[in-house]
Amino acid sequence: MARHPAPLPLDEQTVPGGAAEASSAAPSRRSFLGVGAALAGGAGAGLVGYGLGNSQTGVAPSAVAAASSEGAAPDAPWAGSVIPFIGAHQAGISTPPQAHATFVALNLTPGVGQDGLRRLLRQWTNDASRLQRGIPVLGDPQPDLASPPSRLTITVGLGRGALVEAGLADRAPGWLAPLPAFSVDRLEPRWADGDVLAQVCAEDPIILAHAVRALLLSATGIAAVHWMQRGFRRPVTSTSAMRNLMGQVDGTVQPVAAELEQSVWIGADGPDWLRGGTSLVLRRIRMDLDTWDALDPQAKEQVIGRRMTSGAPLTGTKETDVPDLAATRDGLPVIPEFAHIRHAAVTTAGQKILRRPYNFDDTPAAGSSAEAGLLFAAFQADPVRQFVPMQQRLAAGDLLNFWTTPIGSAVFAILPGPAEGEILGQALVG
Amino acid sequence: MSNHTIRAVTALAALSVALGLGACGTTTATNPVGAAASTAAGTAASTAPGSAAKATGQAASAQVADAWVKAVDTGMTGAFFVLKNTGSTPIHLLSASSPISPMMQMHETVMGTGGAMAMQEKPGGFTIPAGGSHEFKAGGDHVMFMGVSTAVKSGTTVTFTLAFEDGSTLPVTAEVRTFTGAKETYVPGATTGTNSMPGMTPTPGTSGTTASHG
Ligand code: HEM
Ligand SMILES: [Cu+2]
Repeated sequence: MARHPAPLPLDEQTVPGGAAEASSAAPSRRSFLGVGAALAGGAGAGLVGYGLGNSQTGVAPSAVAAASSEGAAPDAPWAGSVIPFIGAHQAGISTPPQAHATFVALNLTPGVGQDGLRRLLRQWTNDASRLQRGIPVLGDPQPDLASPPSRLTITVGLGRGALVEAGLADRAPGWLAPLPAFSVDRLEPRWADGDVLAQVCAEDPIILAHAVRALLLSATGIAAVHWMQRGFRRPVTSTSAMRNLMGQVDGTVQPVAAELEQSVWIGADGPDWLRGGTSLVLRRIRMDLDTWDALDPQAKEQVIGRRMTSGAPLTGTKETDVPDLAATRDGLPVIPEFAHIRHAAVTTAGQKILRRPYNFDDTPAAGSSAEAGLLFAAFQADPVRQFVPMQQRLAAGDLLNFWTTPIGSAVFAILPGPAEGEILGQALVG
Repeated sequence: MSNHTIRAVTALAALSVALGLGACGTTTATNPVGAAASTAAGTAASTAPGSAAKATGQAASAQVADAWVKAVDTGMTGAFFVLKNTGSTPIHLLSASSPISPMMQMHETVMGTGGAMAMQEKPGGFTIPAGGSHEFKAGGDHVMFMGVSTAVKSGTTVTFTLAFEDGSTLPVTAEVRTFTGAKETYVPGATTGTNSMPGMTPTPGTSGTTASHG
């Protein structure tokens, strides 16, 4: 049961009432609907699971009507859907993943200090609270690009450098540092670390681009872009499974809702300013698609331990079947010793990570057909306790390493969600 | 303070201001998003908490939302917000004051001779009809701070007080933001206006001073 795909909490705004209502939604009003089947790509169930029935009929219709010049109905079921910004946890973590994501890391301008960090977080709080409701930011140069909200989420984190610049290094948890080196790493500095992170996700890439730019304008004079990484996956309305560009069904096994307190959210044992927050490990992992495609389909399935088409474990028939790692055939394990899921599998909630990966697809190098891979975004309460041992096991025994190479790595402390009237990072710099 | 005119001197600057305005000098609150924002709760509220209860007269029916001020090192800057009249009689905004500025003015942006956009004082202030709302926005009407001597940094707040015809006042807290739109380039003395705006110091060695007042 432990690793059976199951519901995640859903942050979606499910009450009617438009922009103002959405902003005041208390965490208690968040609905916890079953989205496991949707995350798992279960046909049909996705629509119900993501609460789109509500979105279509009830979510923020007035906000959309007010914001769209014609007052016309939104063109997609998610267009008017508002994900609340206020709450115990930031949105964009347990939120069912949107189709598009931009991860942008900034470095604080040396000398801006704690005041600079506070000023940035104050502006980003204001920006995010408006943009997630489809409302332009203050002084928005492109107000027409702010709506419809399209399930926009803005998730903010701090790297170790932010605390150092703010003179708060003593308050950084031990894990807020570059990960230990793994044997498989071929890290490039241009994708490494960063002082401040914004993970911006939306179903609509135009809404997303506008939100990212609004955040960068607010950072003017305080912080400058270090790297930006863009990714995509299936829209939330899709009833097909999320697939990565190796063709695998990806994102099946996740912590269940009841496990998130132990696996994802930082509790009383963490720093006070991070309670309700989490950590993000973002690994940029290249895929060598040309050599991968040279494998025959059966070999590909052995590498992961799951079927390519259905995503079912080699010991089952459906994607949601729990893999039987002990099963043997003719004395050999059905799920091979070298299989990815064998080395990645963990049993206790405290070991599990929440994976929210996005595909990337950039300009191929000469002689290659693809520069593609995964923006492997993992949320966990403690990367050293959860991510590191998992990655060490994978580095040591996972055959998938043959076709995948980590080229970027960054760790961020994801701030708790703000209460009404608070800024992000209130307990640190507020 | 005599009427003053500050004029855009480059075609590009004029163009950018014209774009910011949409229509020359038109200040009607036609932006539905702005209207939506003015009713939004939380961080959008700009009228200082508790002030509404204490306000009397015209200020009691005045509601300010989405107030922001353009970040500036020193000199002049503008405040932008939506002013709503929730009462059943007109309200008349006459003046403003702030700890950060020795002098504040009500400004409007108009199309000057030659098609260049220019801002000028609106000595009579602004009347908002019963139930109406007025958008003070970049490239349009705004409230001007002159002679700012300490840097107004983005991500901080600025307080100012709006004063109405009947002497009632309304305190406002505004978010300070970086704003790059609706710029004008000014050359003091190059126009027929008096250009005596305090705090407006031309940058030595350049043809003009870029001062974004909105
Ligand atoms: C490009 C690199 C990677 C690819 C293509 C990939 C692909 C997959 C696929 C297809 C599955 C099976 C379906 C599922 O449960 O989602 C899976 C499972 C999993 N992967 Fe990865 N993965 C990659 C990297 C990683 C990394 C770096 C980690 C962590 C350090 C990781 C951790 C996991 C975990 C925990 C599971 C679930 C295992 C289970 O309990 O069954 N993966 N991965
Ligand atoms: Cu002015």
